[in-house]
Amino acid sequence: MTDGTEIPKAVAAAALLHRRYRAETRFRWYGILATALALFFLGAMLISIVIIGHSAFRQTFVKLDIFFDPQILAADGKTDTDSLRRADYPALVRASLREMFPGVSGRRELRQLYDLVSRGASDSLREQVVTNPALIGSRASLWLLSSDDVDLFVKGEISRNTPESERQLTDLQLDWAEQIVAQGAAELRFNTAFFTTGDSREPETAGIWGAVVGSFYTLIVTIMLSFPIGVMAAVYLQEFAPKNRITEMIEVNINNLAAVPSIVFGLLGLAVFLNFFQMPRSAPLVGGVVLALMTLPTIIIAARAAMLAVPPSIREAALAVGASPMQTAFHHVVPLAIPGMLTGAIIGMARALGETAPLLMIGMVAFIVDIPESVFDAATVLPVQIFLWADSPERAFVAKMAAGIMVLLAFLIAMNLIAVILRRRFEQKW
Amino acid sequence: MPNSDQIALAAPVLSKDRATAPAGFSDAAFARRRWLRSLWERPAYLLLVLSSLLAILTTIGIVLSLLFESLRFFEQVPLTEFLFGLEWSPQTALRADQVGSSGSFGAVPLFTGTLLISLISLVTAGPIGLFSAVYLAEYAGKKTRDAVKPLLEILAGVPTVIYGFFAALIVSPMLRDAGGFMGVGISSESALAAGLVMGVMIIPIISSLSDDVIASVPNALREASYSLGATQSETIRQIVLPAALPGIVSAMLLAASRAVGETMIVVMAAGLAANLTANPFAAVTTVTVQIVGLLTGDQEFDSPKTLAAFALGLVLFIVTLCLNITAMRVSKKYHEKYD
Amino acid sequence: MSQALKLSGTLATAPIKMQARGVSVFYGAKQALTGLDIDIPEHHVTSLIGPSGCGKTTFLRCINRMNDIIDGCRVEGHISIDGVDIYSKNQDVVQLRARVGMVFQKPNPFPKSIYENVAYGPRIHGMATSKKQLDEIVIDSLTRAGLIKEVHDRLDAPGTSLSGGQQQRLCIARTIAVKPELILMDEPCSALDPIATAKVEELIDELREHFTIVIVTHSMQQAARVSQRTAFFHMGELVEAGPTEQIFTNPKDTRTQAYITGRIG
Repeated sequence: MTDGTEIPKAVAAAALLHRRYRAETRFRWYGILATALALFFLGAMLISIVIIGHSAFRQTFVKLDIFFDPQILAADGKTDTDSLRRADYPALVRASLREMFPGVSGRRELRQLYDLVSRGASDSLREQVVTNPALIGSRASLWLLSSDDVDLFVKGEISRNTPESERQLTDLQLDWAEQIVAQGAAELRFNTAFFTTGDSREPETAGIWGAVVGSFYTLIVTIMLSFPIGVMAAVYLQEFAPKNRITEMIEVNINNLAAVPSIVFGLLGLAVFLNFFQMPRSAPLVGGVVLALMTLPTIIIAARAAMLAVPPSIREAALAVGASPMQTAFHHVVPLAIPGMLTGAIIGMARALGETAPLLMIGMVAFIVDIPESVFDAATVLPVQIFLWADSPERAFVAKMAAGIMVLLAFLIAMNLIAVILRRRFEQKW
Repeated sequence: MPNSDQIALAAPVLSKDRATAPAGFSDAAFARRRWLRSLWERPAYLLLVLSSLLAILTTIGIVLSLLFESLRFFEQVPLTEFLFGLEWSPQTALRADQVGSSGSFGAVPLFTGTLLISLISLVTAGPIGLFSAVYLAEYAGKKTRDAVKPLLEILAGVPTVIYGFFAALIVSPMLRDAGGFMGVGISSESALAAGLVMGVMIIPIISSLSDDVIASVPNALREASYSLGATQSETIRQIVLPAALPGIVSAMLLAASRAVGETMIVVMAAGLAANLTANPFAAVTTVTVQIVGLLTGDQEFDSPKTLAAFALGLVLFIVTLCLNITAMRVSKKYHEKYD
Repeated sequence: MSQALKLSGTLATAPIKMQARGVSVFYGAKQALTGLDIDIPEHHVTSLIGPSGCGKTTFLRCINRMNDIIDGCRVEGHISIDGVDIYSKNQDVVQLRARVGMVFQKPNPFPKSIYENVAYGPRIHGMATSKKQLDEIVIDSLTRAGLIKEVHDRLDAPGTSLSGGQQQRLCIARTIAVKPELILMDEPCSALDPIATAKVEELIDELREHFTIVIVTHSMQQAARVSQRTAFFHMGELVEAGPTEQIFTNPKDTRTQAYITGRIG
């Protein structure tokens, strides 16, 4: 193969080889870039949630000198619980504010002054007096909840540079707020109320507990329906079903249902459970039933996989000592498959916890303040609560929403961790 | 005092004389135990079968309820107007008895809006998902794979309301500001924002399914290609990916189905006003946004607004069903080739 | 057998195409091949025989550096082709594999048309500058592989639609399309029926004219039929290598003797 054209051929070949290797490197870098981009999105989302939401875990309290004026609280001498409850507690707060800023006069200015403190402050005063009527007539320095706008100011989110009309605090209010901070009468405290109270119109008193309880009740209904039915269906399909058209149809249906958009399940819930069966709207019972139908395919598929992993020798041994097929299935196969089934159930529940759309359809979008006490009471769930806060105009709800997301993520991480640990602990290598 | 069963079991089994055989092993005892067992086994078996039939029952329930309500809707608004009408403003229709005659239930803008956002999401997720799958399946070492794959799965497990938050509060403002900076008008509810974030959501679907499919291409084909002197990228591009194509197409179809049916991201980040456009910078609305909008609020159940939601739901169900079935057929074809 | 005997006379004077000195292969901590020395003569067929798992395929895959793909595989020693060390830093693996082709145990045509299967290699190596040139290479390779008569009218049919024996000949055509100098064959007939096997063996004999062939085989009869030189492997060692006739009629090592008479393997 040695002729005069060899040298240029070699040069052309070398150039081609070089191009091929360059293409190889480029291709490899596309792959790395794509993977890095996907991970970057994940990181960006999580970091932005933490950045926006962490401030919601602390809330501003202002120190006010409260005089429990007997004239306001018990003018007619009555100190029974009912009268105490009905007394005008906001007046106590207003009096205290006037004392703090004596120069303020005129209705408009006074109203701005009173807006510095949250309406929840008077509620907490009410609770204190009702529990301890001896407070009447005394003076006390109390830390009370500030309004959401003052809270934003203390967290540094309001600046004088913004024109007054676009700001949450007027110039006057800014002055007063700065004075309060300068006196050391404003403090950021851990916002335990966030975890113990339900939703509210005011961002500073809004909490996530109502949604957590609602989610809890809903998931209880979901798992109590979907786990037994799912396991029973899986046992039938895996151990007993003959290979005929009906079985095939069932399996096709299960696979299809797993891919139906969640909002369609919501429509089903609305049409059948709310409208036809007249079940209570917005109740965890209905939400649980809808979510159970959605989670059923997941549980069936996971349960079948768990039973498939049990070797046939177990079944054969059971049959050989005279167990009936039913006894074989329930006394021998299912117990061995339980870890896998539980893992699948937990993962299914984690997905159900994050579902929003179908629950919007069955009415869980209402503004609910009370903590639900049973599966029949109107309730909301965590993701819907987050969604509702996203819709609210007040800026302070943004931080609450992000904080709610962190709570939701915390639950999801916990559930997935439990599933992983369960899988690792009970994984059997046959 | 031991019972008759225990005595029977303790007695020797091999007894040639029937008359002296222990009581527990007699035909009567077996028959009694068998009868007792069948008493609960038959209904239990029935329960198992019924549980399985629930899947079919659910599908029938979905189809029937959607159909039933949609038919009632189509009594008031003709089907052609719904499917081909270009104007969607359900609010105006509710005034007095001018139901539907003003032509405000034309769903075409909803279809185009859904299509636009879904396309943007597929264009985003397709290359990222596919190339990351190629990298993880072919190039990455075991340690990288074991670290990255679970992280991508996390993307799949994040509730969509969180993606909605990200889209509405971070991506939309960023895009709007970027647009202002470049002199291009980007709406604060742009299809681009919703589509991009939805794309991030479906990356794991494409990546995970494609990864499985690529890994299952027989190694013998790769070896043949390498032995001919091909580089790894040539092998992947010309041998592996074409072989894996049906599986990848199936993954894309499933991702598309997911995008079309997605609700929360678009409810939080896309607009409410129907807008017939192909401009990704404009605000559009989708089928799912309208379903939520029509049903959250205080209407009586029978108003045409509510029924319209069911008609939209029916269209959604049919479209996603077709996408899913096609995806399964394509995937089956692939498995037949290699299994 | 007689043909191989006839041509063995040229063995002594044939130039050495490939040389291996002190080759050892490790899979992690396990050693698969120990201290291998062998010469492969040009334009002859050398067969590697021995019981399963004794390192024949491992050595074969060293020659075209297919072991590079396997994680944790380490190769020590020297292998040179035409006097050039193929494991040196400036040796390009991609070009090496164009010069050293490989046919595998189970036929593995690409899921493409017959034409595309054969055209794949020449295309990526830029061996043709026009479609006409590419057509010529494809037809030529299929002819040399003895397949052209059976497929000339259906070059667009998928390669997988052929029978097992035809698929293997297609793989051979694919390999020779890139004009290698050395062809490695890893038990190429073990998945084929006797008629297909006979056709492939005939082909090997024809190919010998243009290529150097190293074939791993489980069948001693096949080794005796097709090869002029035979190397016997046992437990990761090259026990004995020499002219085929001598190995089978007058082996020097007792282990070789034991394998040939069927007492081991």
